[in-house]
Amino acid sequence: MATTPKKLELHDEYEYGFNDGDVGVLKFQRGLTREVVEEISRIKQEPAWMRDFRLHALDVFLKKPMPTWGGDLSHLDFDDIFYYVRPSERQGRTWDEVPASIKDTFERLGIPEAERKFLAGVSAQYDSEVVYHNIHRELADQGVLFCDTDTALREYPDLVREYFGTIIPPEDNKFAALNSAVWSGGSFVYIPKGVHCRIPLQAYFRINSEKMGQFERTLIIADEDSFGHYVEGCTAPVYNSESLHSAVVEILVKESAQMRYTTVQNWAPNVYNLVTKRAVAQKNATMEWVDGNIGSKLTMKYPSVYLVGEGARGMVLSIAVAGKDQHQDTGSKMYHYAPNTTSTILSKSISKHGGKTTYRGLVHMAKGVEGAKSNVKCDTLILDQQSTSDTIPYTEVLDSRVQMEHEATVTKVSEEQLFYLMSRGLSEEEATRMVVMGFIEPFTRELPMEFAVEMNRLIKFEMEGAIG
Amino acid sequence: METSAATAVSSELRVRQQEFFATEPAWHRAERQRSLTLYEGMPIPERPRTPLTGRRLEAIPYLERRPGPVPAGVRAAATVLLTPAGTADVALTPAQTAAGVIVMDLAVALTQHPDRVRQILGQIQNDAFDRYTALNRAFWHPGLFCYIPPEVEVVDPITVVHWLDGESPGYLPRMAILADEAARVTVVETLLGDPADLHRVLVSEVMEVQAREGSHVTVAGIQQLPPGAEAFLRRSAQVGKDARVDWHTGEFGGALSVAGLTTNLRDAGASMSSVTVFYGTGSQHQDYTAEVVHEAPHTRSAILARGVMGDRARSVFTGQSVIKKGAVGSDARQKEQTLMLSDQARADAIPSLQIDDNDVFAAHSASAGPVDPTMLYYLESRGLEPEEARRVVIRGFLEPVLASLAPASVQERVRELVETKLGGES
Amino acid sequence: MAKMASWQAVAQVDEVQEGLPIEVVVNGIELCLLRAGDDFFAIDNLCTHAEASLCEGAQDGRILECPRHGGRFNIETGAAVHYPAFAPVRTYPVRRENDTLLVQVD
Repeated sequence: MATTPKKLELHDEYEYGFNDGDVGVLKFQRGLTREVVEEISRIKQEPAWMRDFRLHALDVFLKKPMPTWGGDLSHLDFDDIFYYVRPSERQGRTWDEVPASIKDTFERLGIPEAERKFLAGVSAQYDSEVVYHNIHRELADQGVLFCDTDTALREYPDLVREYFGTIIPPEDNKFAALNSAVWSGGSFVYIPKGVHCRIPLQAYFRINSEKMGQFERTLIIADEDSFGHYVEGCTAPVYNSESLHSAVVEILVKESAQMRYTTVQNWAPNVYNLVTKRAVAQKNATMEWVDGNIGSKLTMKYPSVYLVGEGARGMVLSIAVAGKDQHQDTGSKMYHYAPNTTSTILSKSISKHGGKTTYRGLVHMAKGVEGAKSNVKCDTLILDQQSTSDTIPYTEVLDSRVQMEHEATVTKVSEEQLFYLMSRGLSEEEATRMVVMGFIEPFTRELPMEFAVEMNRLIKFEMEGAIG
Repeated sequence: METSAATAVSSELRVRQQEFFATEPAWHRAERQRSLTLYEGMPIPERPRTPLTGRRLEAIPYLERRPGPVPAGVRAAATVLLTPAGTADVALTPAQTAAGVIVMDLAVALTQHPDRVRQILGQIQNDAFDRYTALNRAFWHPGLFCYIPPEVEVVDPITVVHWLDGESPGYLPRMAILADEAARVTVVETLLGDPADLHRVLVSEVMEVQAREGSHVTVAGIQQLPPGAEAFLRRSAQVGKDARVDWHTGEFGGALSVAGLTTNLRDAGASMSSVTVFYGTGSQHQDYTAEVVHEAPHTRSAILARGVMGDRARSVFTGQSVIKKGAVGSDARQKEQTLMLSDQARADAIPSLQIDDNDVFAAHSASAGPVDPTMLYYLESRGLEPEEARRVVIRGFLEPVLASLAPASVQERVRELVETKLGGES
Repeated sequence: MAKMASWQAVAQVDEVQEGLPIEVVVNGIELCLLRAGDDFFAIDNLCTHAEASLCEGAQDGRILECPRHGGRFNIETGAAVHYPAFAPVRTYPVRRENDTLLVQVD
């Protein structure tokens, strides 16, 4: 590592010195072929097992049919996507090319100038080098491993091989298969036994990788008795010309460990955001998903927890906001596979301006899970007449000695509440905003501070023109 | 496209259809023929949580007519008895007759009241819903037609007993209930057989209810089919302006029961309620769907269900409340609760809401759990034997829905059936 | 108890080939009948993870992969060996009498 801060090039060459002129390389076209997958593996200089894993996943992807449930995927054209863009080929964007609506949002959210350019893919640098070093020193002290997944495959091959693809196999669904074939980037985290990670692990501060890759693959292992909090995303719209984001997140929370994974994402309105996120919680372990979904053309995401050890606990706290031409199809799946496990799902959805929210969830109580308990609450606010909402919860109970409760409501902003607030001098818009903020408060109070502040600003912005 | 074997089957069925229904009016025979074509083109339905292939339903010769004997006393004081042999004489009270109430064999009504019948038959339940509704439209027999004239309030319930005679391999009853403006009526149907009768029978019932402006129709259905019955029951209602339909169902019998209830709240002010009690034991498979569609403003719906699942029984309860755009001021609620008695039983619930307008209120809740151990402990400490304590708690669980069942005769009968199940439960 | 009575003939030996499991129905229960070498196995056809027919899955020796989400089971012990399957699938004893396969279902 250089001792003087190096400019963090967004379009940096990979460390292991891949050179453009080296070999007669394939120029990446749009579309997905066997050659593309082989080339990705070759460029990354992956071990044979990973190359074979990718190729097998490609076969699975090609065979699996498109899902017939969920959102409308009919306009998704698999042949019109770049599945891999080499860093050296990434086009620089000029500030002028960034859409006005994106710039406008940055302005409203008060995003600092330098950060704006970085988020929009314009700027090559973000002066986080110093901060980065400090964070990594702290983590190194504790023995925590945190880097991007490509690096992890190189530096901790045995660890990666032991867990990669074990929780979400390529056969799980078509988009997991796609990710398994072309994944690039994403985070790898390993927290050793007994370690309480003092700082939140933020995707932002990974080095040497695309910050918001299309096919990120994240693998987190919290060893026994450890504690960690992983944070990704940001409230500013992520401007990405590519329209398919298909990530996979696998998390293993070992005995008595605790893990929280916070995501707040505001995708640009052309993006299909199709994500598979699953955690396995062993004996007395706790897994918490805090998930905020705003934007995108279509999001399909169901963070799940498999409660496989006695006393394991799973929690999902999520909000989904769907605006004009947007569909949030989100929810959670909790599988109780051991006794005395508990699961809690609190889902808050808002649809406005013709948007559509769908809660799709599952609670499964297997045979033999005596003492298991589950509580699900889904509340939806539909702000105007053009917007819609569906709530489709599935519950499967195979043991008599469990408690399962599910409750949902769908309504508009209550007129009494509005009347009360307006009689105190607030305009209808301000009153509606207050009611909405109150509605999502159980979610925002769990966010790290800087997210919460941005979240509040974002909701304020989203609520503008949301009346009538 | 058709093999010669398939054509042979097809022409055999056509011949049979012609034979069975030779005396019916031509317009109706044409509708039956149309439906036969539909039926032949439809596969066995695919229901995600109710595997049907292993049940070998098509091995049952349900289109053969072999009516068996009907024991005396089965009919009791019912208004009418329906069996695979046909519709027996109707016994209306003098008051009902005087008021102009029509209850008659649907086959006879085809000729005597064709206009009225055509207003309802096939208008509310889509024949092409699945293979078994198409089957019913093509071959229904027996049938019952009920018509209540405007402003008439029928005080005594119209009671219908369906008796499965233990020999017929198929039973395809068709019910059509038309309540004219501001009419009020309660119809109670009981599906019965000998509890010791193990032979396999395919039941496909279709009931259509039209509740015109301002009317109030209560339909109660007690399903106590014999143990070998594989039943598909479809009940649909169309509710007009300010009209109301209340459903009360008790599901206890059969090896398989796939029961669907669909209510269309078509005009402003329409409302519906549905109360279901189900009790699964042995290896029964119970698949219930309660669906309501709010198509107009200021409509209300309430779907309530409580079930008890024991032994190796399996239930699937799907609630579907749909509020369409423009149905402002509507209110849709669902509440479903299941009591689990054994670790071999399984209860799935999918209470769903599809809301396309915002000026509404919709809510649902579902829960499942065991017999409360604290309650058991309390009762046992008061001297009750463990088995009796269990029964007390189960009765307590069902009590709120039992108490809301109407009319009184239905509530009484359902309570008896619960006791029978309690007595036999392990 | 009538233990002998609970054995039921379900198929002929050459109806079941390795890698080509068949579905049989016994007492209303759907089972999947498989072969690995010269050994035969019977398991519930319904995957313990979600509604899916295990018989339509890919078999590799004693491991069967559910076609729907890729969960895997050991057909001899019934244990789930790969997520998303976790709960074991029920197994049934299988016996061969000359060319007939019998399964014991209670």
